[in-house]
Amino acid sequence: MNEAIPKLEIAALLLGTSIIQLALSAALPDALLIDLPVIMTICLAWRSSPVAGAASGTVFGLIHDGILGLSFGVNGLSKTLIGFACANLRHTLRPESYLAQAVLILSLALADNCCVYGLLYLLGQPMPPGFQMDFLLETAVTGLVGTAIFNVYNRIKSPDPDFRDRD
Amino acid sequence: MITERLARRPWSVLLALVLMHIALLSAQLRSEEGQLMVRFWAQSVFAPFVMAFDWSTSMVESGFDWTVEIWEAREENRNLRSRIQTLQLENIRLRELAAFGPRLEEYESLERMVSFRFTMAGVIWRSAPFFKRRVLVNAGSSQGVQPDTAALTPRGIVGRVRSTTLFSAEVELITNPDAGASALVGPKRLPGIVAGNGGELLRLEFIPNAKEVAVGDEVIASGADGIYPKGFPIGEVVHSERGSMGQRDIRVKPYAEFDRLEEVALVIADLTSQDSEIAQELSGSGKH
Repeated sequence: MNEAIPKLEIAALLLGTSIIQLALSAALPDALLIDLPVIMTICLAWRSSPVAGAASGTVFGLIHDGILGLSFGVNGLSKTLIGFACANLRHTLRPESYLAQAVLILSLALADNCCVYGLLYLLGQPMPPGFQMDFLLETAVTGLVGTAIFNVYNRIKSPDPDFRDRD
Repeated sequence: MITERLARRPWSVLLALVLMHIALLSAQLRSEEGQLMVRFWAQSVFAPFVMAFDWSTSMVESGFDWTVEIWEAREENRNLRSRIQTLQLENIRLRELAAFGPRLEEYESLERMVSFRFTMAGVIWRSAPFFKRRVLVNAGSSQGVQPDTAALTPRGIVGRVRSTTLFSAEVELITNPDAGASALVGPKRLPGIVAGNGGELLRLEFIPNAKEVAVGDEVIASGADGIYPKGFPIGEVVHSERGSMGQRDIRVKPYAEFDRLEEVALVIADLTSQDSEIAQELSGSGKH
């Protein structure tokens, strides 16, 4: 299933993700903020090579940094790692059920958030009070929404319900 | 083509992207003082090397300076040693001069008392086994010293010159067994001959038993031998008794201290002062 995703599709996804994330940032509170770029990184990386996964993670991450006003590279680095890991994991894991997919997305979102907060901590950024709860809620929301988007995207890309690699 | 190459090396791509993000983050971060963290980190990384380089150059510079200083100190030390040696020699010479001062005054008084010219000569060698019998002095024929020149000290006669070179002379002490001098002894000025016997005392010969010579009587040169100036002190009688062959057995202790001779006066002009007054004055000055 290591397919080449059309550049136009990638550009459309980037643009759409940016607009939606920008809108969500203004509309939703921090705790319910969905990390749409990490979801899109996972979706693209799952269907591409590790290099393409890492590259898409980089681009989505930098856009996310720009939207959130963080230092460029925080989300870029975390999503690069997530994209690379996701593209490699698809050869190992075969999440057939929704629950397995949810666990996978949740785990990746959790890893991404850990990476982001870890980097912010290493960079000496002040943490707001009660950020731990925000961290968990954000991860959970991103995991759940991400599972839905992941399924929709794969259904669109592969009408066959079994989206696993048949190679 | 490039995409295929990159696809074959995913870890290299990942590493490059991670490094890019780290560089990106570093370029944006600032410290609390507003300093770019990348600059701070660069300083932190390069500071030890800069310090090591600075330390190395300073060590090399210090080593060079140290070597130069050591070299200069060596030269200075050499100069100071030379100066110290010079000063030590100067000190010795000055001490010698200071010690010689009183003796020189004695010699000058000697010159005032008698009318003859003499030259001062330092003792430069003593005959080791017989150091009381012969000495070598640093005045020779170039200074007018001739064989049979009298050698004196202000205290008394020392001996006579046996041989000379251009710049040295060998003096035979009066205590030598072959040495002798015509003498007068006691207040009655009895004539006799003092002769050495190899010891510290002299023998006074040719004084008849009938004549009285007491211990303590002074013995002076009579001048009859043509060597020693008349009236110059020789010594004093330390032993006097009747002897065999009709002559008294008399021992004389010379005034001159032969084992402490440092310089002597060598008479280089004919004796012109032979009157009894000077002789008496001399005999008076020779008492100790």
